Amino acid sequence: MNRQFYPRASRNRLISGRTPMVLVVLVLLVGVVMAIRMVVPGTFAMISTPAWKAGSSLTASVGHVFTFTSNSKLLSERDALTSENTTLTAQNLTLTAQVRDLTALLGTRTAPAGGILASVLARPPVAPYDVLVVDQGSVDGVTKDAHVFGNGGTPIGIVSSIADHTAHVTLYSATGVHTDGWVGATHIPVTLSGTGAGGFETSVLKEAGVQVGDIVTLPGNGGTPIGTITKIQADPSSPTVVLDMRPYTNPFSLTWVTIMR
Amino acid sequence: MSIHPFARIGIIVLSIISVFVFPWSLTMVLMIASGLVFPPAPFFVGILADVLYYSGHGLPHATLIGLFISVITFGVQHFVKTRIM
Repeated sequence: MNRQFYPRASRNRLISGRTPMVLVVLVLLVGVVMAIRMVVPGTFAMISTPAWKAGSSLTASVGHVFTFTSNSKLLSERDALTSENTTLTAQNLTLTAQVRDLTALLGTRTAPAGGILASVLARPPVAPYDVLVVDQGSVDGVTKDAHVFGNGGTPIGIVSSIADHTAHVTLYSATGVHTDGWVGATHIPVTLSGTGAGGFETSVLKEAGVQVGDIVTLPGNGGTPIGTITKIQADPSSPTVVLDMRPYTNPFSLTWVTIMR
Repeated sequence: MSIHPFARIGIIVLSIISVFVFPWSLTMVLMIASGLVFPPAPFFVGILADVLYYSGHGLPHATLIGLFISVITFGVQHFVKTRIM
């Protein structure tokens, strides 16, 4: 039987002779990548755009091919949605009439909102950090810290970084992001803390009387609804309750957003 | 661990593609798999994710996680080799 014997020093050495060279190359590579990102921030996003678009198309195709629900369930869901649609249409007509009356009372002080329509290239859960990558940048008029709106004009986040033809949108639900808002019909002021994946958490005094289903709004235009309270966690030893909120806009399925100029 | 060279390359390429296509949680699993065949790979994938998605708010978690996986897989590979030989 052939046996190979290695010198003790080389056998027990944790880092072999080639490893330092690999580490130096790695550090240099990281430096180069970071330098490119700092100097020309949009380069990598521009290169990656076809890959993101291909990924979105692939995901959509797979979603159409594989369905995990039965036909009867889909039919009942369709019926429920049709009935909900009828109710919402009636409600919408009522609200439109109210808006018309209020506009007549206030005058035409609400200027038409102008925005930049942007396609979402990457979204959670593919993109970590609760960010969206959109295909409009500084060349198209997007500015840093501009407000971003989802379907139906629901506020979803702000532009956090910008390149020539792309921009990063940090969602209000990103971990570590705190946003001032209101809860309920009486507009109780709260600070919404992002918990990631589109979720929010906040706390109010027990005496505030917040209930499940109360609407959460953001200041601006008299309060823009962004979601509803889904869960209230009460601790007998604490004077406050923790509120979980579900946003109206699902960041996982966003395809288009509007960026304010 | 005996893995065909094409399979090694395939795992690494898949982990890179996953940054663009698959959910972040699956990318993490593929980072671990690629780290087992080539320890620096998770670090590169983490850097790629941060270059594409990091918005400058908080720590660049993807790079840090990639670095952590790389260090662990590097240590495991060396430890296993030393003990077997």
